[in-house]
Amino acid sequence: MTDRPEDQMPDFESLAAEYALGLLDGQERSAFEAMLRRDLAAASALADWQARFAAMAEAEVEAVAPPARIETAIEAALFSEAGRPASIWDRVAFWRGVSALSSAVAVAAIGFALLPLVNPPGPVGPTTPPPDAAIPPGTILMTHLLPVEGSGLGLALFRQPNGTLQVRRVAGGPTPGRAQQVWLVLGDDTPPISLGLLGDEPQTTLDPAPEISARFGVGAAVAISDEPAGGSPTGAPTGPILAVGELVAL
Amino acid sequence: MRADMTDHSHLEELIARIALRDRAAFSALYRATSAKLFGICLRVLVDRAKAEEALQEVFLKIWNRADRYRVTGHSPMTWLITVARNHSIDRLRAEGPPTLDLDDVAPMAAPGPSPEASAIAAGEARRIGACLDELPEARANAVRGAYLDGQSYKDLAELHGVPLNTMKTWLRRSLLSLKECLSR
Repeated sequence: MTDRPEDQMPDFESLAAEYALGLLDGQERSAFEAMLRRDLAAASALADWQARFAAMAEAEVEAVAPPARIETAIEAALFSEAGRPASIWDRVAFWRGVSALSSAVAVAAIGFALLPLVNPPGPVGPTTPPPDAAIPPGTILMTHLLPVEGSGLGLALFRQPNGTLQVRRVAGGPTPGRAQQVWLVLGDDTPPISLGLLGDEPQTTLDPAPEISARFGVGAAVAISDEPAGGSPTGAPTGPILAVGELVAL
Repeated sequence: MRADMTDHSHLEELIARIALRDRAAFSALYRATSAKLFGICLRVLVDRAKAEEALQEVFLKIWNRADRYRVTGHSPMTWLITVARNHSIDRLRAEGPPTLDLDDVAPMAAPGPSPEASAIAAGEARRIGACLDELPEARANAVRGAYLDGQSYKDLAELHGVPLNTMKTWLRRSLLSLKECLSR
């Protein structure tokens, strides 16, 4: 590029602006995208130009009220029963799974004493303690995650008072080519919240964002689902539940 | 326009709640921002039916990517407008490779822009209108044409009746002046 002004603006500044405007093509574009992934200054220059052009659009483009049917269509796509990919997480099926765990096989496979755990809270609803209830400071929450339908996967999960989660495999292992994703399950009205993926090693440490961590409480459940490599593509569980357990205070 | 429409912390809170799958927060965000975002989709795509489809897809994207908003380090309106603009531009140029999402761009280990840098960028951004006015009108319009009409260097060169390389030089100089004006 002989015609690029080189006197004042660093090369990546001008590239970042052109990229934000959608003016880079082909090789120039892939080269800049590669630069973005390794160069913090380039990524931050791009963020600045994006903010400037977005501000231009915010100031200059008139708001136009969309027709009401658009919101209806969006909500139908996201929330309708038919469109919901997570229907297997329907609470009835979920707790049926938990009940199935009381089999001696599951207990033996794990080798833990399961004192307070397998006590399904009956029908859903107000009898379930609100998981949002504040946990007294310093409380460690834990659960044994028991295998569902012969998955063979058993885990122990501890939540430290600072919110860090330690998940230890006590039975079973990773599935080659698939991911095992950890979810916080709060109740009927709240879709499961992803806590991250299990690593291949025996112990995985997860560090949920503070607003997610704040939702842990006695009575909430943690579950593991089978997902494509890299985790659920939709943000909601898509594969079968491999293991579940209800949180108790230690 | 309602005063709270651009209320930074209110929108930020709504996006955080959407990341936790809060439907009421999603409805509230839709009410607060859909008209502006529909305006953007319509400005880029011109065709009303296409803009309506794009708006639906934009809000599905917002629902699905709300948990990654924070890594972009952007203000909420920057994030929302950029999602709407990039999605509309990608539809306009359906044959090309998609524009990277903001959260793909943030380097994995990067702490994101510092609060100070974000504040400076936000202050600069507010002045961009005045700085565009300092450019010769045709050049300011070339910037708008690229961002909002998806015009390529080739389109811009034809539109302004100049050779391609002249157009590139023009536009890069304009961007340089813009940056210089914004940082004064």
